[in-house]
Amino acid sequence: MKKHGVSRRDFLRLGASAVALGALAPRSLLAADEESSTIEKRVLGRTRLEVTTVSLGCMVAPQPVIAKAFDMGINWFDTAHAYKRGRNEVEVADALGDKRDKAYICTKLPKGSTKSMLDRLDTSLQRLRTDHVELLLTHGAASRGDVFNDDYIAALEKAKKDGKTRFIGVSTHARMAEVVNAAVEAKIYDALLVKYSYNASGDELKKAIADAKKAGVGIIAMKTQLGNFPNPDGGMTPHQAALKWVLDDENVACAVPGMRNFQQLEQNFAVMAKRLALFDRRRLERYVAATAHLQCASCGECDGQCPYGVDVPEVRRCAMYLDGYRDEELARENYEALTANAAPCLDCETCTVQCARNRGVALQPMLREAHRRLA
Amino acid sequence: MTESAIRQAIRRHDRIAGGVILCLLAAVGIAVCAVGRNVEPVPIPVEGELASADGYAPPADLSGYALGETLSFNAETLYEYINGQAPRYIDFGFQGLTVGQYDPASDEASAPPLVVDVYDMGARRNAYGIFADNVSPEDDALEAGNAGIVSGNMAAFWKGPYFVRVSSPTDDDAQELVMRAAREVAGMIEDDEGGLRWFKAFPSENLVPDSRVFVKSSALGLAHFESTFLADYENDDGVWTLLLCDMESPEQVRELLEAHEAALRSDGEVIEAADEGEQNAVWGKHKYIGPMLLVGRGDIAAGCVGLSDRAHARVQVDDLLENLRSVRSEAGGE
Repeated sequence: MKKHGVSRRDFLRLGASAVALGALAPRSLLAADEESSTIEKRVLGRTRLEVTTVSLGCMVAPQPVIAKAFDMGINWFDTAHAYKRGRNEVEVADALGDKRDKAYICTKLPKGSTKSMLDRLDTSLQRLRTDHVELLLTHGAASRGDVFNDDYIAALEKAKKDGKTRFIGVSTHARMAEVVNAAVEAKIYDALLVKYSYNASGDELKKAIADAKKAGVGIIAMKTQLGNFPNPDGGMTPHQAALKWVLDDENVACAVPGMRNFQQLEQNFAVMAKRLALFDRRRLERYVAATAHLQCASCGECDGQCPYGVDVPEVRRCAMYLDGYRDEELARENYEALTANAAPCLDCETCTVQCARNRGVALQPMLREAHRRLA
Repeated sequence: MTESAIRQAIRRHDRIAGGVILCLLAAVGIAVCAVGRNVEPVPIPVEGELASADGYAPPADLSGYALGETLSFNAETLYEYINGQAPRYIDFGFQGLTVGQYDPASDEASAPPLVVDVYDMGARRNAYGIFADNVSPEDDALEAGNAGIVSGNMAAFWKGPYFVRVSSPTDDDAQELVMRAAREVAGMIEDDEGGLRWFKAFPSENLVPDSRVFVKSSALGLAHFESTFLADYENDDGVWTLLLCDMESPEQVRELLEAHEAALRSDGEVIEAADEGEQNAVWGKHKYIGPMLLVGRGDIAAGCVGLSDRAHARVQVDDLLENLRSVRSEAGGE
């Protein structure tokens, strides 16, 4: 497999804002590896396939990003019959082109009758322009009943018998521990795609994943990441730290974060060469604690909502530096630079600003508090 | 009235309109039942206003057609309903989803059930964006809303800030039913503007049908391309894509061009970066996207992707910018 390196300098150059902020702050907490990144691979359970720990969730990735991911050395590509109503599988095929035999493809079938699932698999293989995939999953198993469903199992086993998939499994993002335990008990599944993140990883799920690994069932993690605020110290972003936190669990073979653009691809790719230092862990803990009630995705949807002109996204960013990174100096610096801070919030009777990700979350108390502490 | 206040008013109006939509969904059910039974629809007890910040209030159960379970999702829970497709919707500005499940009345048990999904995308362009993202080449066009499609027992359309999908979870043929329901729902949404005005600037000659898309973030995989309108073209000379980026200021356009130049240097080459006074242009080749010409003029950036002849690409971009100027003047200086 071809190896590519992304130097630390290249990585830092990716985000202008991150660089600018990094210049303002000390780098004493820097935990990133100064060396060039390398590809890290792990074995995916009994499939014996060696997969890149940082792999690609293709759902939101445009075709050029998928193509570059392959060139960089990423070898596991996750898609589904339903993604973009089939166009995502076509994008994967177009991106891989004649190099399909050097990549591993995982796709998923919606739950249905055995016949409907097998018909859909044929459609998926046509879109992917291949005669087989490496891993075929029942999409969205949400209970023990889904794992043991005779129709789904019959479809997957027939597909495997006919050579249309090399391995089978289920994906799950609900009642994960129950589904993983059931899948191990079923003894027919080779690998599982599981929601597993810093925010969604109770002891029960961790144990289930460890048990799966022992039983030879490969684990692929999805929905691994948190918000993507730049790290003021220039080290890992919470996004990267959360991905690395998942990969620090040796029971996980790989993760499939979605990547919308080349920047995200390179940020995620660089994680393979980083180590999660104590400072990164502490930072991650603080970040999650500070943002648990907001889960701000930095989507900017609150921008322009305030009738009094408060620059809500920027105030939230400053609050993040204050509570998430515990960097009061940086928070004050940025807050002072705001042309429309949260002063009007002190006298405002009714806040109308809505958080797109968390409807019903009252932003005014946070904005008001930020002003009191930073003004 | 300030721009912020205007935005607030529009958002409030949209939310109320959304509430009204689901309150009236039952009317569709009634109409559907009426088709098979020749009975008069029962008046709907419209509840109208938003019940909570979490979603829209569905109407109470109705005689003749029973609204079953109603569900609502936000950005955090959307994946529970549509799995891994959720991030795509969130990228397009997803605000909330309300699902109405309509069961046939007990005396009409043979009628297939209906499911109506109303996605509030926050803005017309976002609704169009996610609609276009959901169109498959195998779909048939459906006259519903500003644009619609039908495939099997699923119909979808966009109108106002809403992307609406009507489906029937049955193995029987229910296409006529979902088409009729989709048209009914579309008729309840107020939106007189029709298609997106920006697309009027795109030349119709050589346009690949159904290729016009709006991408809210990271168009072509490039993080600096936000709020971008794109369309594909094809003739004997080849295949190319034209794009328009809606920026807020000339300063933002300059930043866009700088970011674009950096992206080309990172994954390709910059052949020419020219400051032409009122206009700036970056011409280069991206390793994974192809030849790209990006021109900034005022608060607009226009581009051509795929044509290796710079002069040809420039003609395309200039036409696009000129068309946009006409569209803007027709719209009263939009």
